[in-house]
Amino acid sequence: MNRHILQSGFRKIYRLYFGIALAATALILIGICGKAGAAILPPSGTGSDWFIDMNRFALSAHAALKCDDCHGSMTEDGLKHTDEKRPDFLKQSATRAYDYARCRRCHELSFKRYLEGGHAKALREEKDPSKEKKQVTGEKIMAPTCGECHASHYERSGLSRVAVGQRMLGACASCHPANAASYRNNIHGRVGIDLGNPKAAFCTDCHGAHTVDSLKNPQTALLACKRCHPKAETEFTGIVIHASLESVPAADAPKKAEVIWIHRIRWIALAVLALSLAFFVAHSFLWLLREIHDKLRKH
Amino acid sequence: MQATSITPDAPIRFSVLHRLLHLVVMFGFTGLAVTGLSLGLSSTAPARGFMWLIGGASHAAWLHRCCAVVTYGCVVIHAFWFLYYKFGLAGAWTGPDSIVPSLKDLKDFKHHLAYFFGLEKTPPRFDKFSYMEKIEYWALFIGMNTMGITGLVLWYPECFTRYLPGFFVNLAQVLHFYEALLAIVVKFFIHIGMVHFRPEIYPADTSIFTGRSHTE
Repeated sequence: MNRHILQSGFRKIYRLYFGIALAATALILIGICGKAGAAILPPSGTGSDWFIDMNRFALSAHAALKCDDCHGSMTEDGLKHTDEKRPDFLKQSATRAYDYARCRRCHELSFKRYLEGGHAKALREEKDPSKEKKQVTGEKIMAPTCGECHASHYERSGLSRVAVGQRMLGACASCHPANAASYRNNIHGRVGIDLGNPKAAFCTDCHGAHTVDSLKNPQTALLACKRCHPKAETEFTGIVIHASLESVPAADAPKKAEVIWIHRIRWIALAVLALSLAFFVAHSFLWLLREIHDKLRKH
Repeated sequence: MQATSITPDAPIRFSVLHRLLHLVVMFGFTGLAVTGLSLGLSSTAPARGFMWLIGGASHAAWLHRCCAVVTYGCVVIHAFWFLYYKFGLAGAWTGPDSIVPSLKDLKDFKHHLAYFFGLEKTPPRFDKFSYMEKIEYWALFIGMNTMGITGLVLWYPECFTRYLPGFFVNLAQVLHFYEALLAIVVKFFIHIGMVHFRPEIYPADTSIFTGRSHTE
């Protein structure tokens, strides 16, 4: 009788122990899956077109503005809404048609920086018929205005640094896919985008929010590095962040040579790894087979 | 528990110092492996989940560096012990008890291969350390130092770029990653598998923890 009670007591303790262990494992797994799901990147591009999703607009930073604050009144400049004389109006891109100088009224500093920066320079060159059209990547891409990077109707305020960084990568990647990919492979991208660390550097932390500098000049690059690495000196800027051949401009031959060396060393390291593992695995496998054979023969 | 019995008066194979160093390196190396792999494979869900569990990338970096200092500390202590063994104890570099590779290792290797394919009835009689143990020892010794040097470059890039071209930091990162992959696969699969799970030894070879040898 006593032994029976004792045994059932033990059984209860075991059940409790395994129950707690199972629950803890399940919690950890749920935590891992939940956390992993949270880090999915938003789609690239801003999603702006002629048709506005008012549910999303109501949640955006511009929700308090009325339509005509940005778009003018229905009869402005002697134009009528809708203009029967221009039936093809809706066929052009919404972001190319809008006059983004209107953003300046509220975003003076950002607009000033944009005008000084690389994107505005590209836009001026694009509009200048005397200059040859420059292509950033393979396909023809137009120089960006505000609306190419920011979804004016949907952009939300109060997002965390990491959330802004992750969305930013999507926006930058729509024109600079190779640079976005090489950034994600770099320590900054891994720590910031994958692991969600707010201390990591996102695109604009180095390239500037509206100035978008290419950082080709080492002294400009050094200023960017020094924001987080105060002890850095000029050669520190020689560390290749975008270490892929696609993200180095064709004109930058020394950097291309460095990236080729990084690739060569990677292939050599991979070959050493593969050969060593081939030796270890084959040796162990043969050894195991032989010992199993010996064991079986003895029985 | 063990296939071959260990008698209390069996010869000591590993001294207290070596057992202690092995134990510390065992935990230090595991810590380095899990935190390092979580960064190296950061785009995968398990890596992100593990990083979240231990409190983010900053904590992982701190943990990785702590484990690195402890593990490399063991290498330094071992190097000092080696010097003491040579000069204090006037120990021999060569001979049957040595970790230094010798001609006999080549013969043992050929004999062992012949045994694998059934050309020899018995495995070779190894000295105190077999050729496989010597390979692992020296691979680990070289690996620990290259990992230490490349790791230090990645830890203090500001300092090293004063003397080296910037892209050497990229090279250090590449070497650190592939060396780590090699070490992790060899230690967690080949070392544990062949030292403990071989049919001859299964379930465990306790000599690195108790110090007692069960051969001879």
